[in-house]
Amino acid sequence: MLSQRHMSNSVAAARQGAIRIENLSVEFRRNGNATVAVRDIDIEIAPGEFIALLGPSGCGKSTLLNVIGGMLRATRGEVRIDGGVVKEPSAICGVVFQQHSLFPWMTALDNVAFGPRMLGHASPNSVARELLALVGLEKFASAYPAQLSGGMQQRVGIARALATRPPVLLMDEPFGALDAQTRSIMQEELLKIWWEFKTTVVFVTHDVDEAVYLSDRVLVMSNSPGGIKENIRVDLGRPRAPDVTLGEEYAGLHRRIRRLIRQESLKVFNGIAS
Amino acid sequence: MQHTIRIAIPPRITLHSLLIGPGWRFNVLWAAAGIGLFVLIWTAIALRLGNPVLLPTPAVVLDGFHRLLADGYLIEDVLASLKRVFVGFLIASVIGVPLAMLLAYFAPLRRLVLPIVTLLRPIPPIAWIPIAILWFGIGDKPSFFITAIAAFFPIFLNSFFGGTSVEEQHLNAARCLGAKKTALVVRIMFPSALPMIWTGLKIGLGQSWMAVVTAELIAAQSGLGYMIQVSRLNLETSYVLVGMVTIGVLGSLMAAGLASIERYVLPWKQK
Repeated sequence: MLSQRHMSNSVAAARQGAIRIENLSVEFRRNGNATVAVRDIDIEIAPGEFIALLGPSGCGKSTLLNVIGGMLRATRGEVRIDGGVVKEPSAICGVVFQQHSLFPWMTALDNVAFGPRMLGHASPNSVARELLALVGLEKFASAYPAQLSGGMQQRVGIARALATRPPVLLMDEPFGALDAQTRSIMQEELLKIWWEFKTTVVFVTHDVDEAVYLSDRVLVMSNSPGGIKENIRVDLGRPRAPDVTLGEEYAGLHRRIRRLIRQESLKVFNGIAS
Repeated sequence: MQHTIRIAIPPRITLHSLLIGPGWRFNVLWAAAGIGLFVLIWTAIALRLGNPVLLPTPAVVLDGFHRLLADGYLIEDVLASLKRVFVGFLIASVIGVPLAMLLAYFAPLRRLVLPIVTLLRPIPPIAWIPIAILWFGIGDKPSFFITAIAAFFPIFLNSFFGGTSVEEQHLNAARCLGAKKTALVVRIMFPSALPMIWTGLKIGLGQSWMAVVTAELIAAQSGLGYMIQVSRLNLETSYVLVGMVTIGVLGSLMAAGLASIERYVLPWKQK
């Protein structure tokens, strides 16, 4: 469990995690030809909101996430987090990648302590120990990533991203490489952790269930070029138990979103087939 | 940790792994048999030749070994050579590894320096000896220079490729955790290159050891290379062979020494 002291520290910080994306386009140049990855995106995300970016593969959702995190430059437009324009990756955005992003030469503890150490925290190891405990891996503090299962590695990845108390947490299909059982347990765990941290989350996925179960809002993306097709509010209440997936409301949302995704996938599928 | 997953690392067959790993008793027997066979063939050829100046028998060489050991000359020469190897190796590592990290990180610097390295690399250490003598005279200094040159290229090049193959995702993850330039080089690029750096150091030490003998043949008045050269001039072939065998044994011991500390240098690479 996290101590009260740390929680109040994060509240005291002026940063809130409001994201404002204005008129954003990203183009890639290959052999002189420009391919538009995402075009004219406008999104506003409130502090503490859990957003799912949902779309078929190749729709630019990871591109958009990378721009929010400063890992990729926009061709036009800009991303502002709490008013400041994002220019490069920084500790404002914690990032959880799909897989293999832990530093293999560091133990689980050192991986999680890395951020606090970089930011000059007085006792990085004790912060790391608390976060490892939060994801249930305190016993694996001295294990190297290669000695952990895929699910455990992602839990360490989440702990590492949260250790710097970032106002924004970006997650790029973090459970995409896990088996179905592990994945659903990880989703529950993530909701619990998020409920405690109240950080803004942008979660990229192509799994409709995952998007609806986790988020406050699902942004369905359209294909080539990527844009926001629909903005769907998920009013399933909080805190959310896995049982919500059994209700009528959930089924309705799921059906509607699945239909949208299917349209987009077909567009690409037929485009390639013709 | 009953949940720990063991990952399979393909076994590398080295002398070290044969003598340390499972079944080592068996392997030691095979090694002894192989060396025994070699000594036997050597003896047979030497006896058939019947000319100790061309090829003395292993027994005569062993006798020479005892005499040189008793005189203290052998120890002196070994220490002189070892000193030259380690000093040169150290110079090469201290320059090679940081330079490689800098060039791997800063692309403009790389464009400037890499062509120079590419041009200098094909020049063998032995070709540097005349210059080394002109610059440093005879003795330790030219040998330091030659052993450093020999060790530098494998160390630098392996480190450089290790540095440039750092994963973009690791750099991005580190930036998102607040790491700045220096931390990226020291805490991300360096450790992720360390397996390659280690390979470079192993090769570099071997090259350096080979080069010291070459250097001493010409540019020194002590050391195993000098001892071989003087013994040849005196037609003391058994001493030449003592020198050669000593070089072989010490080189193998150095390689084994490095292999045995690998698990402390690269703990995350261990099973």
